[in-house]
Amino acid sequence: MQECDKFRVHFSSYIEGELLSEERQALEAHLAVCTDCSEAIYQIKIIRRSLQSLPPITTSSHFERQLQDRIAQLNNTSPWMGPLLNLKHNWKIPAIGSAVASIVILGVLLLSPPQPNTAQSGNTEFRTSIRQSVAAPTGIPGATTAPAKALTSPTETQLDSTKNNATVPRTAGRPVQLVGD
Amino acid sequence: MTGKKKDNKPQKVTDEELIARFQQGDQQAFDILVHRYKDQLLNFVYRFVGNRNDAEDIVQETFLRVYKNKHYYKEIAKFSTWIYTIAGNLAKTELRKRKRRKLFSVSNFMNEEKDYEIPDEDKNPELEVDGTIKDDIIQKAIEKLPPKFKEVILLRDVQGFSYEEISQILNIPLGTVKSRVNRGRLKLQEDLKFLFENEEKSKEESKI
Repeated sequence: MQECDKFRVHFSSYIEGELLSEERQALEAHLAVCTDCSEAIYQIKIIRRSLQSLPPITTSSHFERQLQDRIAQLNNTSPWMGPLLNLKHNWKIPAIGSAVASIVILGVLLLSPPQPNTAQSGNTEFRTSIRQSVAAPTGIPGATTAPAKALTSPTETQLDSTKNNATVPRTAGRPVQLVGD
Repeated sequence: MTGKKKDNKPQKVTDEELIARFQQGDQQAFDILVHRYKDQLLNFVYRFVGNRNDAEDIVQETFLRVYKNKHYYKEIAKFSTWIYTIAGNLAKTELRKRKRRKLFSVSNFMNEEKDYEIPDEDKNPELEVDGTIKDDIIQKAIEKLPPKFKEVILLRDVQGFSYEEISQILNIPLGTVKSRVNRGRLKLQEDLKFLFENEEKSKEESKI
């Protein structure tokens, strides 16, 4: 059996005709007396023929279309989107990020002093705020407690400022006039 | 490639010229390469992993890798060698994944030996009229081979690559390739010899 093992390492080379003549003659001499080895050579030849004659298979009809779609998907993903898309696999990162952002925004809102509104001209809230800031220092009753009336037209503004002229200094009317600017 | 699956028609443009054109932005060159290689890669990968859908996915992934990493290809190697290396590595990764899944799967553990059932000894051998072994039997025997034998057997006997090409694809010495091919064939013969024992038995019975 040990002798068989010595020859078995050359089986493939022998089958493929790559064995040197000296080695080939030695192997053939062994095969003449060893049924196991000659049988094995015969079987390997059949197995090899069977492997070579395996029926070829072809890709499915949608293979190339599917590949094109995947490539298009690849091209549509901009370089900086890659890491962002990967976030879907790790929900913790966006969750923690959102939580931190919420805390920061909340903190800023709570700690920052109220700022005068700097809205655009023509904005109703702006005009209301003007009215409050004008009325409050003069101590007009109800100026801080009564809800500010929303002004909808310059005419109404002018009427209001005219009404207040009795108690409000003249300068107080100026910001109201700015509303129309 | 010297593979038997190679198209015998004269090819005006070589694979290496096509990948060079693709590296310069010619999308059509890539499409031609896909057309040339999709089926032969599928045959290789399918025999490797034993599942058609997985094989098709792996072949698609192979082309995507070529597309994404086109600039990594250098003309010192043949394109066929490069693409088969990618496909082979992906196929081996798939088998490793399956092995891990199998390790953690109780049901598979319980039925470990059921994936390859040796036919009843009393049955007639599973041989074709021309003496070759039936496809499903040979496929199961391939699947039973350890990956390092399986890949060389597929590249040599199914795909028809030369030993030198296999050495380049797998990045292993030529002597190792020859040794593995020989051991792989001996392993297949060991696993399938029962078919021939039955053949001998039936021959003897017919004589009586």
